[in-house]
Amino acid sequence: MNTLVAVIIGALTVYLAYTLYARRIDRQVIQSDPKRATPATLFMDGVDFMPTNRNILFGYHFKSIAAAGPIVGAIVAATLWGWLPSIIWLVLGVSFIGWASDYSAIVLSVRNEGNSLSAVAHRLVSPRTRRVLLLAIFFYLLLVAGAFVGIMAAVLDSQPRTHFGIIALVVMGLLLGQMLYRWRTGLVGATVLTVGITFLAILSGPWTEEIFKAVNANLNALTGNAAIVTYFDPTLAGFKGAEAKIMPSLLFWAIAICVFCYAGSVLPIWRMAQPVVYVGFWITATAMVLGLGGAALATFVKPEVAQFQIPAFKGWNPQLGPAGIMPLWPMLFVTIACGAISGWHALFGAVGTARQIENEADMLPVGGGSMFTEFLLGLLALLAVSVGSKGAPVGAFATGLGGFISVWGVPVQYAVSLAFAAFIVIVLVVTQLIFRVMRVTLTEWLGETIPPFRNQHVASFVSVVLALLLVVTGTWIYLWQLFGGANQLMAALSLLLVTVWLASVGKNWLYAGLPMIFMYITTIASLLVTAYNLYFNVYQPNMAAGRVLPIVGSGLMVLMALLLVVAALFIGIDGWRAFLKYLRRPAAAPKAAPARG
Amino acid sequence: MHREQIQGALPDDLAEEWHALSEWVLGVAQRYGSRVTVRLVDVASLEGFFKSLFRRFNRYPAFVVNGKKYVGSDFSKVDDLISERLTAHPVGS
Repeated sequence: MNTLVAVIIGALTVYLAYTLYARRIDRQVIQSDPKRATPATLFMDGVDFMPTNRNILFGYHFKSIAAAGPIVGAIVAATLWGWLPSIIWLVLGVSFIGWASDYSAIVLSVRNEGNSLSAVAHRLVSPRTRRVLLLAIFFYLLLVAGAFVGIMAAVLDSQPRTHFGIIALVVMGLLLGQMLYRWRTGLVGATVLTVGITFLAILSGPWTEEIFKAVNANLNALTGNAAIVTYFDPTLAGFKGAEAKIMPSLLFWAIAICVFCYAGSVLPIWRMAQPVVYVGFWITATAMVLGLGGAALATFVKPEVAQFQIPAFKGWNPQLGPAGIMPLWPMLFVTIACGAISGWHALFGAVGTARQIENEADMLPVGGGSMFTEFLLGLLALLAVSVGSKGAPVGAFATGLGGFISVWGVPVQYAVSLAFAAFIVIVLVVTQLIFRVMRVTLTEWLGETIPPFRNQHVASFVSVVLALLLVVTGTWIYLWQLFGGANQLMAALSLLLVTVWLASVGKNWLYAGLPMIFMYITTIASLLVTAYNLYFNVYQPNMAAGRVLPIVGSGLMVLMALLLVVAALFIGIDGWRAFLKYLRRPAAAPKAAPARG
Repeated sequence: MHREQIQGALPDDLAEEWHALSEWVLGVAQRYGSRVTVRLVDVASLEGFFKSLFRRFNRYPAFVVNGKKYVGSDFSKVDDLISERLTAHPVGS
């Protein structure tokens, strides 16, 4: 197997699934109608409800959904089970489940006046479902935030070559906001200046590395090079398990990321979030295009980086730590989350993208198209690790991607710097968005009963501190798989709502209902397996060693896993009742939507 | 989330400009109906970047009416360009 064949498989998957299946569902089941008015045109307010060109909306949606999920998940899965099961799940997942989930969440919102999933659940299922869904969404977001902050802090701590580029990205994002919205300079000049400086800073990584190594060393010297937290990590020592340490430098970078996300959460969107996303887009787009193109060309130009090196299949239940179990089903299906299917996409699609859809004919290219593009990002990550890149997941991704970029003649050390920076940028811009949504969810959930949560600083601070707590007390692989389980569960719940809605308007619900059943059962099983692993593989060894923080962290994660299972059961029961109710009654005529004026 | 986005999307002065622009766009739709199609492009986007690059805009809002450019917030000048175009090429001619 080589990268060219894999790229061809990826391209064929996208083409065949989109043209033969997705378009058919769009035409025959949803019956998207370009003449039907969308919420964006009906309620245009210039901010949230804003008709947007499909190409622009595609870019925004993709940038808002693509984060660490498709990259880290694919690499961890390839390491645990081999590249073959990983690529099969990526291909089948995106073809039959992923695009359907993303697209349908947008359809659901567009056909329900731009309402969010929880609002639709309130109307279609029951008020209790909305409350339980809000709780599940908050804990889900907390897990995503914890997993992403943890991964980024680990990369920044171990890869000082990335620091200068990331600091430049934040500074240039702030400068761009100031230039565009306060000084009102032209976009072209501002883009050339800010994106150009960010690129230069990223490429200068190998030169600035020593400075930031010294910063890390000085930070660690504060405690005499003693760890802040020591915990048992079952992923170390070739998956046999060993002691892991959280050093002051890692805590420093985790706090730095949290400060950035806090600022992104409370500052006006124009001041920070939007311009940072804009600058980040150019970085990630460049790395992705050069990487995918390089992977395809490598077979001819640089064959040594094109040949798969890792085993195709490593086993059904690899051993992880002293007592852990990692059965291919259900764990593969939550370890690779976003490249195959993701709840975050549905959540964001319903509350954000759906309100900007100009024309119903855009729902598939924007929702489905973005999911297929993210599949390609997952495939790229899988290729990067399959060609033999070793080390931690992000390091393997950056080394492999750097190899592909180097096919274009870029020296490897600069190409790897660009790949590391692209990863951090991809994750960072989504994480700040996640904290923003988390703050709003917390306010919506608890603001009425506990008034201080209406204050944006209180809600943001609580969100950031909880995520940081997970980072310093959790074991990353279980935090990742718990996030994966919660993420896929959110996708299953979104598909459940879509299924209930399809039944309520008398449409064929099978294209959403069958994937929903698979994902619902799989994710509940995965949450139970993760809870088991956390208890026997992390909680007990740390308990035996008398370590307080890891005991608290793993204990909380077990509780969160069980809480998500209970929430899923409540929503599942309510959803099933609502589904039967709609199925047994005569089909109601679809509510006539106003025609486009 | 909606309220939150409205409050944070633009600085106050730009938000006021945006409202004025929205009112004008709605007025154009009422005055000219289907004879005029208005397309709004967000400056801070990929499309905004390339439109600015190829049209050589470095101030906003910027308007293009059938190839003729105007930069500024005096919407009556854009109305003049539209009228000029419609007079030169009446529908059906």
